[in-house]
Amino acid sequence: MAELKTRLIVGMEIHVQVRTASKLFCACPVVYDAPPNSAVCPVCLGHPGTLPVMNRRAVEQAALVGLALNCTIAHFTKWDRKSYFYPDLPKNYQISQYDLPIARDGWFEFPDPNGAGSGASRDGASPSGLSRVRIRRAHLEEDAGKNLHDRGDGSLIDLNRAGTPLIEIVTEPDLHTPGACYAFAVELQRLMRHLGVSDGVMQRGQMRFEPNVNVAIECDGCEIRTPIAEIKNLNSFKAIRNAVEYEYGRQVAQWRGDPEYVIGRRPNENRGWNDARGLTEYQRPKEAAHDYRYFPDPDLAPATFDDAKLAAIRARLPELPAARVRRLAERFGLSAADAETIVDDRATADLFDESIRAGAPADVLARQVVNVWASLANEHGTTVAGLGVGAAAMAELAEMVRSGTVSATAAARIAAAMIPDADPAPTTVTPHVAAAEDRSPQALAAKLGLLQEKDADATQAWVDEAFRLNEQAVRDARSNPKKAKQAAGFLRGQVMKLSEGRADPALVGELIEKKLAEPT
Amino acid sequence: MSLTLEDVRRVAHLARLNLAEDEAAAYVDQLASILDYFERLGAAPTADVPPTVHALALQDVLRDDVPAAGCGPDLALRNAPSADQGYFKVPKVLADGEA
Ligand SMILES: [Zn+2]
Repeated sequence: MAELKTRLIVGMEIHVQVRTASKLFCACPVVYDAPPNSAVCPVCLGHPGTLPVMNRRAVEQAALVGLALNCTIAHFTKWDRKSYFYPDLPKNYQISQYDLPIARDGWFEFPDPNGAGSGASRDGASPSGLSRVRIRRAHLEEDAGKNLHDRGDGSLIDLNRAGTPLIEIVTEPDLHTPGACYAFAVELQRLMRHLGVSDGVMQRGQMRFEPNVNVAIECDGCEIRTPIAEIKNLNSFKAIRNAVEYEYGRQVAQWRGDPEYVIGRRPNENRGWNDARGLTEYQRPKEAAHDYRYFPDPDLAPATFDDAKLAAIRARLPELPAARVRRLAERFGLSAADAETIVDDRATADLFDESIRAGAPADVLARQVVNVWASLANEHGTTVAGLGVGAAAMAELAEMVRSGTVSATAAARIAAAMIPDADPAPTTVTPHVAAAEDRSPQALAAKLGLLQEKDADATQAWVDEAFRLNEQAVRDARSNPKKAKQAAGFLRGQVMKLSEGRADPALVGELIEKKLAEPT
Repeated sequence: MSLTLEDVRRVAHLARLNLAEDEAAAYVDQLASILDYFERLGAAPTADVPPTVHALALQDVLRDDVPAAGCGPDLALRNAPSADQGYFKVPKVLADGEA
């Protein structure tokens, strides 16, 4: 067979759960993990004679997302009934938006690992490694309940989620590599969190990605396209990348075996991702849109956005994550990866900026946030901002490292003790600090005995001790050219260890060098 | 307006209606005459009329995002033909039907 040229084509459909206190059309609370059917009422149970009333907050959040995605916001938008029969949707229709969605015709940029432009189809690369995906539309609709299969002889239905607000975002088919799909999803999650629209936890279904995948195949001078497969059940970023990668190969292979496997001649289909087996499985043919028999919902009034309303919503737009990463990288010289770690959580990014304003040296602070605070946050099962340490205290600790008051190692121990409710002296042999006492970094450094020892005599004593305990390393450092550098480094580490992080690394280096130069 | 038996079967399937053979045949004529009647609307001059999307001259009927307790699981399940451990119980569903 002739050499094939193939091109992956992916458009993404994303459902985002909007974080509101109440459901979209009734006052039932939005809950997760509550007892089944404990947050329901006649409206969301779909009882006859009930009337839905739209949640203002949900409408405004949908418009906010539209603005963040550079969309045009409709001056006039309405809701439609989308008919389908499924027990987790008790009305037998879903209230959604058909021809007048809240937002349309936008774009979204994400850092593309496969190089700028591999995502975009229209105007190619944008500056600084970003790829652009066009947004077709974003609209507000209701979620369905949950259906528990495989429970004996029937299916069990929990309607707590029924009628909770969802934003559906549809992109144009502008993604062309599995890596771009992954990076797009990560950046979109970051955006939703930054906007405060959703927590975006994929494992909880707060963000659900459905790639629509097909392949353009060039063979003997003509180009065909495979039927579109929509992939369901993706609950991690890795699953998105793996499923798209798998589907790319599967569709090309299927076309090789069946020349009629071409869009229009074979049906588009829904497929489910099986994470354990690492493959997609056929579910059913995709229903054409007119089968849903959309028509305007007579129970819901249309919503309007005049210029004043839109201006008020636009004023709530924060600096968006991609711009923020760029600013941190350019202004403070952070690596893109470090900047992304900080910007991942908006409150953490706000705390970072606030600490800088409080006088923190940016490079030290960035290292501490990424290496120290982030791992402490991880241990405590929260975000850096969630640790409850204030900007001023963070700035003070960063400044103490910059000025050499404490070493970076000591700062990590101080940081752990700064967290409210943390055991202030978990690993030290010095007497413990009472919980109510001062948790300022300066006070903790003193209490934990971590203030850097500038005294040359004390440092010399640690150096002498390290030389006495590590004769082989000393010999290597003095007379083995191959190992000298490594051995000297080892000795520096030993001195820092003996000093419990208090020795001034610069002074230690100096004293070790001097002692190595001494005649034996 | 011409309507075929195939059209009627298709619409019936979409509405999940089971039609007997003679019912389907009868509906071909009945639905066609209803649609014919609606065809008369096509004669009305609407070139200057904006499309109607809602029967009432209302817009922006919104409520504040304030939660309130619902009816509770016991009342919710009271009319259910079948329930199990606080869930509605329905005949087994095969395909997935995510929104
Ligand atoms: Zn309700």
